[in-house]
Amino acid sequence: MKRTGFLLTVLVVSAVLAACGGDDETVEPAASTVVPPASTEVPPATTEAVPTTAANGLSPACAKETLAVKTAGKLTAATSDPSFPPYVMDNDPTTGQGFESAVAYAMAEQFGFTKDEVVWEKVAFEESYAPGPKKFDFDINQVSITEDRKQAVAFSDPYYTTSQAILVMAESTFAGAASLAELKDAKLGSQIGTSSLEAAKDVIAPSQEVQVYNDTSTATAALRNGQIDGIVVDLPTALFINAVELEFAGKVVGQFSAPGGDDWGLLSEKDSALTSCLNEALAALKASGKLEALTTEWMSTSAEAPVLQ
Amino acid sequence: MLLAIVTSPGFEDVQRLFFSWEHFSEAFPDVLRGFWLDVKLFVAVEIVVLVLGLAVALARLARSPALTPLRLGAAVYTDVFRGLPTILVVFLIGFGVPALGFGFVPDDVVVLGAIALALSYGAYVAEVYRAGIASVHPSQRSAARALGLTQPQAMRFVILPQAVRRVVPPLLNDFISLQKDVALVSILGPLEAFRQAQVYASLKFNFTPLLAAALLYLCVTIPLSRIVDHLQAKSERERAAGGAV
Repeated sequence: MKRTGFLLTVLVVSAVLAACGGDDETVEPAASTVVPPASTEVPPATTEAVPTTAANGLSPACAKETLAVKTAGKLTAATSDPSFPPYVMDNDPTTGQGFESAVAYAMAEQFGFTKDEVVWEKVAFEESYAPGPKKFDFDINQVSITEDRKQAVAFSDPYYTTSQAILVMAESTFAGAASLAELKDAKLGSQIGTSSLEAAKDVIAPSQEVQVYNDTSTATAALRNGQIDGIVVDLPTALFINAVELEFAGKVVGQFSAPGGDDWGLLSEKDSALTSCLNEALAALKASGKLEALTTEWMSTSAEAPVLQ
Repeated sequence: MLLAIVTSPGFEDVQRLFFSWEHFSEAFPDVLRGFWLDVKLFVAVEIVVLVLGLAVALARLARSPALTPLRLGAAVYTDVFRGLPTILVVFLIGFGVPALGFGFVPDDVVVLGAIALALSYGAYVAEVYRAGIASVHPSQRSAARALGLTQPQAMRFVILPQAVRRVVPPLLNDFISLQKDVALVSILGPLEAFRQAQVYASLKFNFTPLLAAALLYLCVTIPLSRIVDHLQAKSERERAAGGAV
């Protein structure tokens, strides 16, 4: 794949151009056809203007010792309980298994924390944006970056950009849908708080009200029961549900883009001093190709899902 | 105390995230639409519950030895459904029963949710009825029998009218409780008021719509509470009609 060539280029260009590398990177993810608007802002990462770098290769303000973390010497990451594959395997983020767990540990490593120095907090989605002090340094839980949400919390740059997918049962009359218009009369379901729900309402605009579930497992139960015709969910989750939960009894009829794209960011307390450092570390992970590698390792390819208009 | 809240360091955040007029007015129409589903559900379930509860109470009080299975069945029903969290009943019936694959199971989740609520509240209401019936003095039954009424007639014309009148306030209390618990149906997918508010809140990271939902619930539950108070006061007055001692 062209990924190897890209990696090589990045290596040659070297770490000084980390910021530019990060910028190029965002065009790369295969899953999305949308260039997210948020990613056009290049993070204020290590530029030529900064003469010295900390031991971890980031700017001095982001040195492990001076990092604005909640508990000194520890990096506190958060995700929901339960958390679902492929983001966290076996509902245990401490293993480093699963995309988001792996990204969190890669971030920690970039900052210079050992695996033992990473602490996980179980934080429900609603809790992550409740007002008041937060008990985590960052929350990694497939949270989409939007302007409205920035009024309540701080987001890092995107670590993943997804597209939305529609999962139906293979024998469903909608399994052969070749366009979004053919899904208009489907009774769709989605998970609360996701951009998938908004995408379902705004892009597909179905004739029946979109049903809302607490999580993807209840949505899958409803799909199995025939209570809904299809689930709208991010593409990696759709592929995972179909493969593992439905054992390929379902079909991902296609993918489409949420309005404004769907970038996932690390969530921190509003006005968090840590955000700029998170961005630096992310940029470094992008530049080194590590993020790309983790994405390839954990997130299914989108080849089998046609793009719907 | 209000001053302490207003001057607290986090108040500005709380105000922005919980009391934003902008978010309130934007979310309100959707929340109100969701609330209409709540009201319909509430009325439908309440009617079923009143009938079911009475039937179960009468079954539990059946005296004939031939009706022992019925009596036992009613006892098991009240024990089980009163002992389970309502949310669990809603979940099991909403997702579990259709998975069994019977052809006759309704596929509308709102109907399934309504059935779950009716089963759960039927058990509570049955116990309320039973307490009411038990509170009618045995001499009433004896007197009715002495007048030549059959056992069912005595129940229908003498005991039940007195019993039901006594339990109206506790029944209304369960009404209020049910009126709030219809929100539990939302876990099955339908967009009722709480869910609509939650959807909006999670999209915008602002909790104000939940406040809108809370206000709507209060609009129904507070008048209901006043009715309960009024009925209670009225029944006290009637009991004291013979003159204060």
